[in-house]
Amino acid sequence: MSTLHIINKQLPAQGLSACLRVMRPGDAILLIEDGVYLCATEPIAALPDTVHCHVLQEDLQARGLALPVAADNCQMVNYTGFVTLVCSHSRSLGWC
Amino acid sequence: MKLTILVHSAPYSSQAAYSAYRFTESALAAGHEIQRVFFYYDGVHASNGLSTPPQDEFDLVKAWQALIEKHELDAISCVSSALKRGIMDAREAHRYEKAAANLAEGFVLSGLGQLVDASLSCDRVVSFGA
Repeated sequence: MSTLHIINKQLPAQGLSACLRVMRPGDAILLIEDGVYLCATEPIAALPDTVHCHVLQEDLQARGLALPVAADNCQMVNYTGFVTLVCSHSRSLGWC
Repeated sequence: MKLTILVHSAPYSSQAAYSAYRFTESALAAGHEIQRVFFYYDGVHASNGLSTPPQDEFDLVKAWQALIEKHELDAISCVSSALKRGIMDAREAHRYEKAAANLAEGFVLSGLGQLVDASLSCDRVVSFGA
């Protein structure tokens, strides 16, 4: 049973570590809204290869950002990709 | 797939209200079925028919109404969340002796049971805002 973890804000360190602690192989993270700021941070960069991280392109661009070169474990998705991610995981969990 | 969308946040306060709309629009375009859209807590502001943003701004209430009409969506605003925030249909306005009703056309007031029912009978629940 895989979970899509949707993060929509810059979670405090405690919240983000709680999210990362419950991640299981096959789970994925999707950064949307202000959550996109996390794509450049150390905890996301340090994710194991078994965890995929996705960033909503529209929200990243709306903030004048591009995917940092260092964020090589993050993939951009559009809203269609967001829908696909929701359907390809058994459930989704919003970290608000 | 059958999807249920849960909206917790108000338009113009949080981007989540808009994200929920964009997601629903994209899911429909991808051929998925929307089992129900449930507006809860501040999310019910999306069903305020008196919301009047400036003409050059995106009108989320109208956008939801158009999507609801086009796809015959089941859009429920939580009745207790809505009444507390001054959003009501003609029946509730009459019951509480209020001067006017303002629930936007296309939305229906109902209880939390509708969220439970949709959650049990759909494939995925996606929640926006908190």
